[in-house]
Amino acid sequence: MGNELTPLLEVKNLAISFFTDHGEIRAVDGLDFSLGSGQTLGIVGESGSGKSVTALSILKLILPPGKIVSGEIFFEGRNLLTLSDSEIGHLRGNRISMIFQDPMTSLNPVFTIGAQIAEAVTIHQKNSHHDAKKRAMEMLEMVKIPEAASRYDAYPHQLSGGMRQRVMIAMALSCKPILLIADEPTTALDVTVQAQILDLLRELQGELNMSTILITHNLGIVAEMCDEVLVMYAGREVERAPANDIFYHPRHPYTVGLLTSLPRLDDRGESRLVPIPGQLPVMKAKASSCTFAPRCKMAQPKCTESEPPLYSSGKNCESRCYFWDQVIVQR
Amino acid sequence: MSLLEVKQVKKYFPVTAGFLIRRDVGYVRAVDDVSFEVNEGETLGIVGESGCGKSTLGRVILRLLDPTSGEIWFDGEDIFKIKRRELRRVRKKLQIIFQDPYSSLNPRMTVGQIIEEPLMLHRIGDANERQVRVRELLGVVGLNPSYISRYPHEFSGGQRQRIGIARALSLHPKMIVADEPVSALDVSIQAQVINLMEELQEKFKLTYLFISHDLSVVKHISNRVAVMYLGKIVESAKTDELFKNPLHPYTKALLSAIPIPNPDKEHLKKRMVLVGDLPGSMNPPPGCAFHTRCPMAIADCKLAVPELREVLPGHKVACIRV
Repeated sequence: MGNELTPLLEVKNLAISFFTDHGEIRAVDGLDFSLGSGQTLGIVGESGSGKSVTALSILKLILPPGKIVSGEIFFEGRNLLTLSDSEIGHLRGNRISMIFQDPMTSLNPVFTIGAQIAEAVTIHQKNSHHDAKKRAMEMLEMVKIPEAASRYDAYPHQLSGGMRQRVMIAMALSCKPILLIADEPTTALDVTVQAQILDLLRELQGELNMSTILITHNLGIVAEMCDEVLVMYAGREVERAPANDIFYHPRHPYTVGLLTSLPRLDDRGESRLVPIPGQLPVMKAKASSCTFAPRCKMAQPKCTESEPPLYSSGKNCESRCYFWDQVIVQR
Repeated sequence: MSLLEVKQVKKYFPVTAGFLIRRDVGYVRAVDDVSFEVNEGETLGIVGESGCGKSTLGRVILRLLDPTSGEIWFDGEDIFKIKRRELRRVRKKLQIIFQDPYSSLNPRMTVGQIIEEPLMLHRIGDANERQVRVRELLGVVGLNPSYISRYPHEFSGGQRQRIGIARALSLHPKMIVADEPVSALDVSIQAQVINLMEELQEKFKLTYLFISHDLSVVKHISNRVAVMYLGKIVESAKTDELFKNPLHPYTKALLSAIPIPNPDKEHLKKRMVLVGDLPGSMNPPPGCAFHTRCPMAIADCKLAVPELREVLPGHKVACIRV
C-alpha cells in the first residue's frame, strides 16, 4: 500500500503478555504490520482480541502486569522498543499522538482544556506561554469548537461528550504529529456526533498529511475511513487486506462472521443474522491450532492439528486460514 | 388489538437547588407528552440518542418510575391507577431486560437463585418444581442447565444477557421491555442474542418494546419504529416505510450518520451532518425542539411545538415542513 519503499511504521513479531496470578495471558502474539505515510490502517476485532494493547505498545504505554515480550517497532527508522523513557517521551504527543476512547477519563478534570492543550505545546515545541496559548486557541478553532476563545478557560465537565472528544483531538494534533493512533475515538459518542468527529478527523488528516491507525469494532467506520484493514482474533492477525477486498472478498471465516453477524441498514432485514457461535478464547499458551477453529463452520481436522500460516490471498492480502480460497460470504 | 397503549405520558424530573432549604428550580422533561400503541405479537423499536428519554420511557411503562401525568393501558388495565401492592400482578405479564448485563444480576446469587427469584415472589410451584422450571429456562435461552449453581462473574457478557432473558421469561410474560439489550455486547455475540430474542418471540408469542440507540439493530428486529428526540416522538412508521422514506429531518440525519460496512455505498452516500449537540432537556428550545440543529428550520419552527400527525397511512411525523 502507498509508500512501499520505507513505511512510516513497521511492527515486527510483536508479542505482549500479561503476567497475572493465573499465569501468562498472551494478549498479542507474533504480530507484523506496517503503515505507509498518509495511509489509514484499521485494526478490527472483538473486545479482548488485542487491538488496544497493540496501540498502547507503540507508545510503550503497556503497564505491569503487561509486558512487551518480544518484537520490534520501527518508526522513522528507529526501534521504539529500545529507546529510553526520555527519548520516547519526546515522541509521545509530538511525532506520535493518541486519542483514547473515553474523553471523560482521559482529560484532567482540574485543569482547563486550554491549559491542557497548551501543556503539550510547551513541552514539545519549547514555546513561550504566550505562543502556546495562541497555538491552543488555534487548535480549538481547528477542531471547530464554537466560541473557541471563551472555551479556552472551560473545564472538561462543562463540555459535552462530543466537545470533549474534539478537545482530545485538538490536544493530540497540537504538535502536528505524523502518526495518529485513534483507539475507538467515537465509541462513546452518539451517531450524529460520531459523524461530525469522523468528518473532522478525515479533514484534518488530509490537511496535516498524517498516517492513522484507527482501532475500532465498527466495520462501518472502517469502510468509511480506512485504506487497509487488519483483522485480529485472540491476539493474532487472521486477515489483512485493502478495505475493498475485506468487504467484498473476505478470505477468512472470522471476517465473514463479523460481516454476517452485523445487522445492516442496507439489507432487506428479512433474514436471520448469522452469528459466530461460542466466544473468544483466552490465550494461555502459544497457539498450536487455528485459534478460530472451535467457532468456525468450515473447520476441518487439519485446523486443529496445527496453526495455519499466513497465506497470500491476493495482491496485498493475507489470510491465516488453510481454506482461504474456499471462503465465501453466505448472505 | 393493541396490548399496550401509551397516552400522553409525561415524566418530569425536578431539578433542585439550595443546601438546607431545597427548592425546585426547574424540570428535566425526560418524557414529554408521548403517545403510541403496541399490538400483540409485534416489536416496536424506540430509537434516539442518549438523553432523548427512551430509557425513562421504558421504566415509566413498568412503573419502575412514577409518571408525572398520562395513562398507560396494558392488557385492559391502566397501569398508573393500580395500587403499588398489586403491581406485581401486572409485572408478571410485563417484564424488562436491562442494558448492562454486569450490574443487573446480583453477584452474590447463583444463576439458579436469580432465575428462581421471580417464581418465589409469585409463589409459583414448590422448590422441586421451580428447580425443574429454572433448568428448563436455562435450556430455552441456550445455556447449559448444569450452570445452575454458578455465579454471574463466571459468565461472559452474552451469557449474562441470556440469564437476564431467562429471568424475564420465568413468569410467562406477554410483553418484554428490552432496554438496549445488546449494546454492551460484541457484534458476534450481539447477533446471537438478537437471534435468540427473535426465536423466543415466535415460540412464546411475545410482544417487545425494543429500546436502542442503534438504528441497524432496531431495523433488523422491529415491525414498527418510533424515533425520539428530547422527550418527544418525532416520527413513527412501519420499519420498511421509515427506513425507505424518512420524513423528519432528524430521522434523515440519523440515518445518514450511520456508517455502512460497504466502502462503495459509503463513499457514494451524501451525508447530512448535524451541527451541535443535543440541547439539554431542562430548557428545551421553544417550538420544535430540533430547530436549533435542523437544516430545514424556518422562523415558524420556533413558534409552536409541532404535533405528531399522520401524513401517510401509519406514518406519523411531527414537523411543519413535511
